[in-house]
Amino acid sequence: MEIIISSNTNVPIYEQITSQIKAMVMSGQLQQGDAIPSMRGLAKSLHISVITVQRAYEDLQRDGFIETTVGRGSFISANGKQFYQEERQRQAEEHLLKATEIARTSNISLEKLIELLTMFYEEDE
Amino acid sequence: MKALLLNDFYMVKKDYKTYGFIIGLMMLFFIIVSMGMSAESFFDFSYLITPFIAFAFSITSAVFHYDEKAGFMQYALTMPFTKKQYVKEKYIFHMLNSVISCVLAITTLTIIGMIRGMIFDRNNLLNLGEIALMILIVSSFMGIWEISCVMKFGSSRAKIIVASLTITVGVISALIVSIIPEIQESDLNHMILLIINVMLIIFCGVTLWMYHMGFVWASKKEF
Amino acid sequence: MQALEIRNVTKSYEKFTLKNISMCLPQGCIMGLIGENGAGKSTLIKSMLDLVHRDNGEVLFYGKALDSQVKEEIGVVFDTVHFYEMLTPEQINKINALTYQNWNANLYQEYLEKFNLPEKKALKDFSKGMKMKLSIAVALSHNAKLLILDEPTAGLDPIARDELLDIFLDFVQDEEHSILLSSHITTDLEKIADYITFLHKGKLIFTKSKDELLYDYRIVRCGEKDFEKLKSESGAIYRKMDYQYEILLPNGRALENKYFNCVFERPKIDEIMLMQVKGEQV
Repeated sequence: MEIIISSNTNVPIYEQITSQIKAMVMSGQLQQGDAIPSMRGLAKSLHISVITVQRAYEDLQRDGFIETTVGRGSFISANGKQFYQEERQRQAEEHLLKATEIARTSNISLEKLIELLTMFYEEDE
Repeated sequence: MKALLLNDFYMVKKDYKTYGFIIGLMMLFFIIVSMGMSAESFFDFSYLITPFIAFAFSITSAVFHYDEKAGFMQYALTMPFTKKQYVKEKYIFHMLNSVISCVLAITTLTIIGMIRGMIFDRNNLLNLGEIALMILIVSSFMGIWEISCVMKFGSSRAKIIVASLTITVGVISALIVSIIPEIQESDLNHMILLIINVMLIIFCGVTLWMYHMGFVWASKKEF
Repeated sequence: MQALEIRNVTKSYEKFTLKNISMCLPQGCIMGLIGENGAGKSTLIKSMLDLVHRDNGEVLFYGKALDSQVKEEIGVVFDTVHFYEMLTPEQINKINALTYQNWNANLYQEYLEKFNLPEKKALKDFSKGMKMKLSIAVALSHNAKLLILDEPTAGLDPIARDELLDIFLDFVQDEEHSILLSSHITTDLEKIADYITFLHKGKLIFTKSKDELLYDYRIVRCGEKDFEKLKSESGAIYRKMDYQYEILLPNGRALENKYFNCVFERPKIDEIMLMQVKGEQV
């Protein structure tokens, strides 16, 4: 497992850790049941403060990605991928809703919208 | 407290060598000089005790000087020691040195006695014992004054205070001793002797009070 | 139970007063103590350790007041080594073995080797950095739970400092261990501190989590119009410069996207200190 952090961005380090671990779960690099380093161990390896890592792990736990048991450590939980998927879908829905509202109030047809969506989706493939 | 004693011992290791060498030379000097003197009892040599008492005082004085230089007391108080233990250990350390000087002095006198062919009968042994006691008492007094004054005034000023005090007391005692025959013949001899005794008691009382104040001043010390 | 709890500590001197300081250091954390020279950092540390008499207030170490037993569990490092300069690390080993119940001579040896400190050389021949490393070796070798360090990294080169920071991070691997570290070198604190406490002129200005200071706070540079809107934000501190206003905003991150004509920057700890000391509040 690799975690790469930078202290020069505006993104707090705990968020960097959280996003990277979530990304690894989504990509399958981390599977359900895999162990991740202890909070303190990770803090030491990354040369950062403990409560930064603690915050990251708390966020990951809250979002359902990991489970931490006292005495046993932290493991990837089953639901993370699914929760993440659901959350991202919700975000996409929000944006689509906005686009729909803009279209409706500006006389852009549904067909045009679908055309644009298809174009965007297929653009980078 | 053993740790503090070890620390003090390490600090003055070099001074033991220096002062020890000086004392050794003085012992030799006394022994040689004594051979040309006419004397009856050990008491005639009681002036000898001065350098030995000075030895104990110098070591203790040096310990405080180094302590202050390093700022050790401040650090020691972050270790599992109380201020009381710190001061007590200094008194113990001084006593140990007083005993050493006592032993050295008695050794010198014994050697002198042996050279002169003195018989170590009860009288002479008693004299030796009295001299030993005197060394211990005077050295303790100096130690009490030194340690308590360091706690209040710092090591350099304390050294001056105690040295001046010792010289003053020494001169006064010598004066009193020298005029004792005259006092004994005068009419006021009882009253004068009483005054002298009272002064002695007061002095002892003050010294006892200084011992106590050593702890009090230490407890008030701030860094 | 907190590793260190300070309640209403006050200490007055003729020209300076440390006033009503209250703060907590949780177990398993590193707290940085910052403030300009004369702000009271050393006074606070001395007040905690009974090296000066507090006028008021109490200090608890793992729930207990300071006594000899508690001192077994505290390791203190001052900015100079306080052993007599003719002593050697070997002699210091023996002294400490008689001092502490839990003195670990093997661990001490390991640190001596790790720090390249010659066992039989007198302290007076040590460089400043070596002396500091020795102090730290001693503090780490008697099973202490709480380390209190007063400017430990001043005078050390960056490599030595990095090694020390690693050692501090290692120390708090144990969840009961904590560190209180006063330092001018705020970049060190930015790396490893969990919390930062800022003292200024004897008063405690804030105790905050480092992440909050570095990531939620913003320093905003803007013109008068935006300044008028921003100056009443909670906790805002500003300075009027020649051509702009500078404002420290505790909740700057939330406001970042709402002001387009301003420059929002994440502050460094010393910039926060500067604003606190030189800025004004509405």
